[in-house]
Amino acid sequence: MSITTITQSIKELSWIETVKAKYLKAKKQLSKKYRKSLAKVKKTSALKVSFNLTKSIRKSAVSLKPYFKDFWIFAVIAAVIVATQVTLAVTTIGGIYVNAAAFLILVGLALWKERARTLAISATILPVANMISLALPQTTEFAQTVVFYDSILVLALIYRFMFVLDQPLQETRLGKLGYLTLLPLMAIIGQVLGVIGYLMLRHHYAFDHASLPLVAACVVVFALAEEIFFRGLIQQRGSTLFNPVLAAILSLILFVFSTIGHVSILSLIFALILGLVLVTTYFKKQNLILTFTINAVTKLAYIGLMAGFIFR
Amino acid sequence: MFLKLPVQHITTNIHNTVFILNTVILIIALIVVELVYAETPKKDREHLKYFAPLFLVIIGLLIYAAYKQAGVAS
Repeated sequence: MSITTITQSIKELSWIETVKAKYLKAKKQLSKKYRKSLAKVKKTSALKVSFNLTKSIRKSAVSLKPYFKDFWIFAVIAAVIVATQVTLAVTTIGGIYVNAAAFLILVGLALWKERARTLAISATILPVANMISLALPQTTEFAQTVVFYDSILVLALIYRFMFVLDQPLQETRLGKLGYLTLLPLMAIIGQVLGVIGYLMLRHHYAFDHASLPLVAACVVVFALAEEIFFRGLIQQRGSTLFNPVLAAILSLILFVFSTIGHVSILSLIFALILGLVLVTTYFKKQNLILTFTINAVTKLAYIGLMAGFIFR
Repeated sequence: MFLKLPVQHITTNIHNTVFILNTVILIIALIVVELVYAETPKKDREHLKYFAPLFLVIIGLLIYAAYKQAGVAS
């Protein structure tokens, strides 16, 4: 073996060593990167990962749901609530019996059909709120309305909390830009609706003897209660059961018939207009802050215009 | 514009009917729940918590009724 061959093989060996060192370094770096990414994945909770996955799957599944799937559940819930509200408006004692029957039918539905459970139990809030209001008579209509709304708000909040524990709600938060552009638009829509409400219902103002600042403060809570119940529970729970369009219609029916009164048909027509705007907004954006803004601004604009009308 | 209890005046007659019906439906609802879940293992009954707020409200109203009746009687 000549010296040149030996030198060459030594060179080759050192080259192999360099390559080996480079390989080891790269491996180390790779494993470091791998470990980092693994830690990152671990950091993201299992719930969040599965939630993000199911979110997209659920979204596509919802849009593929047939229109008349579980239509009978929709029909039962709508029928019992409409029957209760209409009978109460026509004959109070008869309405109380129908109200009790509605409560039992909805509880029975919730016990019988597991898939209808959360929606049926949410709809039960309305008969129970009726019971509370009838059991706690107040001296003024304003105080009676406050009791009615408060019972709806408390029960709706309890149920939202309970359902969120079991099934996390869909991510519906908007970005800063989304809120900056949409909130003023919602406020404008609310003001237009408030003016329409004033034009239709200025002769049917129910809270004559209550102080205006108190009424103005309370209507914001009323709007919150309506949104959490009709959009946050009925429409949101309904969308998980049947087609979102059907859920929106159910929410609209319940909203319109809950405003039924003994004074005028105009309140029903206005509730239909307001309800249509609110369910469409929730259907498009799935965001309660937006619908709450419309509802609260509508009520505040109405109360403000009424103040001008009363003290003119 | 506002949700309403579509009742003009709540008389004593209406008041009493509500409380009697509350008692009746509470008993019926509890019997139904008992019949449906008598044979069900405990871990499958977890969703019964959904009914608790409604029953608590009705029980609360009944206690209020009893308190009022006692007030009237004394």
